[in-house]
Amino acid sequence: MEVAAAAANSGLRTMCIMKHVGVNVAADPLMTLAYVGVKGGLVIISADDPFMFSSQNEQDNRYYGKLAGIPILEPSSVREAKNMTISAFELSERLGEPVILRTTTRINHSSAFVDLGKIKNRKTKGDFKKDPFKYVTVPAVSRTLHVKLLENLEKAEKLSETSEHNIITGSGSWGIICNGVSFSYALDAVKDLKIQDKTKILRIGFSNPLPPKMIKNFAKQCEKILVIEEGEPFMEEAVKAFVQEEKLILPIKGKHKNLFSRLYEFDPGMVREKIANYFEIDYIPRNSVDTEKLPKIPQRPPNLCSGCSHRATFYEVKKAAKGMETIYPTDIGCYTLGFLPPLSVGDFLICMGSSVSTSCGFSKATDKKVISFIGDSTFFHSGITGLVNAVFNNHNFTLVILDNGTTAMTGHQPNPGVDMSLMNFDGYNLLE
Amino acid sequence: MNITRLIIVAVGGQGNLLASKVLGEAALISDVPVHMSEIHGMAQRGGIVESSIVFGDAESTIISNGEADILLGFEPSETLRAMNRCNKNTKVITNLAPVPSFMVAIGKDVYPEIEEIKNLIKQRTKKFIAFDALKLAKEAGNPMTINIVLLGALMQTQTLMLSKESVQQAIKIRTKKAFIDMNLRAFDLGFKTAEMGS
Repeated sequence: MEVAAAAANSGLRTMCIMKHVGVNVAADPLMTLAYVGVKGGLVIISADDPFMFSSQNEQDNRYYGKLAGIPILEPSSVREAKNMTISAFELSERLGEPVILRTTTRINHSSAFVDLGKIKNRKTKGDFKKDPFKYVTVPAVSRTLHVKLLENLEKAEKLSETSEHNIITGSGSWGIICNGVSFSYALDAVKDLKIQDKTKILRIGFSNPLPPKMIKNFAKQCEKILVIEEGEPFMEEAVKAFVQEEKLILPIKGKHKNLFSRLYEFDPGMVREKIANYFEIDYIPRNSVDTEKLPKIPQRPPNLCSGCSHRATFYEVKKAAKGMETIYPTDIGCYTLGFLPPLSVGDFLICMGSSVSTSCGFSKATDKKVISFIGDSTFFHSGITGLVNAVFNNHNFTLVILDNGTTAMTGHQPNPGVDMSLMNFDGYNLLE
Repeated sequence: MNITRLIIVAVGGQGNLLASKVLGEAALISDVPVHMSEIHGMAQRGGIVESSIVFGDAESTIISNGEADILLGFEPSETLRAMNRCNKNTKVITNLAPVPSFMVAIGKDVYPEIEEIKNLIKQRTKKFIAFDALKLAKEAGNPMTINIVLLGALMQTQTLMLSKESVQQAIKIRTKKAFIDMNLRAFDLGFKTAEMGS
């Protein structure tokens, strides 16, 4: 995020891509970058993971837009993701603020046909013009920058009111407000239920700031509203507040024990059923075949690859620690799978790098032998700072760095521990 | 245009994603709208890979329980596990060569008898095609062509709005040059076996 912040403030269009939890790590620069702003467009792609297909939590990153005070765009399809990316750059340059393009697993792990436009020439060298009273965020400077940020947020709200990404379809009086993949499910559902003429759908694609006037006008034309959004009631709470300002009285529901959950991802059948329930339409769900009488099917949990050296490492560590009372903090990588029996080396994990720093805590707070595991790429990502402090504070634990010289789990991406010359790449140094 | 919903289930390494890409390419050739989605988080470490492919005028990229029109299983126990995605009209095509998980190898789980799996699926569906696709893949020249063998069987059922030729064309575009002939042979073997209704 800092690299991107500098590039964008040298006038270059810059993109910074990470999953939802990556934004937590980058949140410190992001919050203040919003104050400083950007010159070249800066688009942050944040991929959320409802249902946690491969993540440690399912936090809803739309709140980062609210927290930082920057715009969020949310595509509903693969095609739109591509178009919105272009739009996000334009918006970022217009406002002089970073823009978050927020996707979810079902956008990122989908494929569809996309029309490609002409690719512009890349500009890879910019220039930075010094202006310390704009760029150095000491309190006196930040006080004025915050004023500017709020002004930009007001401009962003006006743009949201007329944005092509906030779309209304249909003209009925049953209101549906939705975002992201829920829009696809809602469109398919109203078609399947044959209620297109009764419903009106507001698809929010510009979700921070939301468009208050547009939502109020939409609500005025509805007898009741259903808000369909995965994750938190981000839009639902705002819609309720807007409707209250208008002194309108109508039912608005979204997250509710009989409707949508904050948990996990939605699917088309579930959205169809909830729409039918809420608007009281006769509906017979399509039943699955009877699976109750099926025998137990062997589980297929992921497993360390055949021949993986981590297995032998875990085995040796366990042998060395025989008879000791142990705690094994672990980290994010394939080797997390060591927590499964029979190895059972993995007792605590919260985020990348937590193996090292939680070991500091366990070693102070308990009298047990603390042995932790971290891979080389995670170590360079956010384990190394914890280790520096552990040495300084004389924390007593054994850290095993599983150094296989690559980022194995996610597809051999480079990290500072990789010898890039082995892959015929020039221009990198070897850390020794 | 009608909507056809296809689910492909496989174990990591069996070539589910390539098979899905071939079908996507064939849809592009045939001018059929298509939305695809896959989950493959832990595929490389022996996990399950599932693709959803929705052909026709739908917006969703995933398929709810009970809503698949066709289930194509690359591994018999995975086909059985995915039965909750089927309704009584779903067509099921499955490979019968098992890939037991390590839970079976270490004796924690028991792999069901293949005949039992066949019967359990047969009792629950309208149309069921099951055969040893691994044997045919080997016959085609390489066990890795198992995914294309199964695509051949899928195309024989004429349940997708794609022609056999478009899929063969897509195989030529999407698979490695050196393997095109072998893959086309695998496709034919799968197609013919499904024709014999085995």
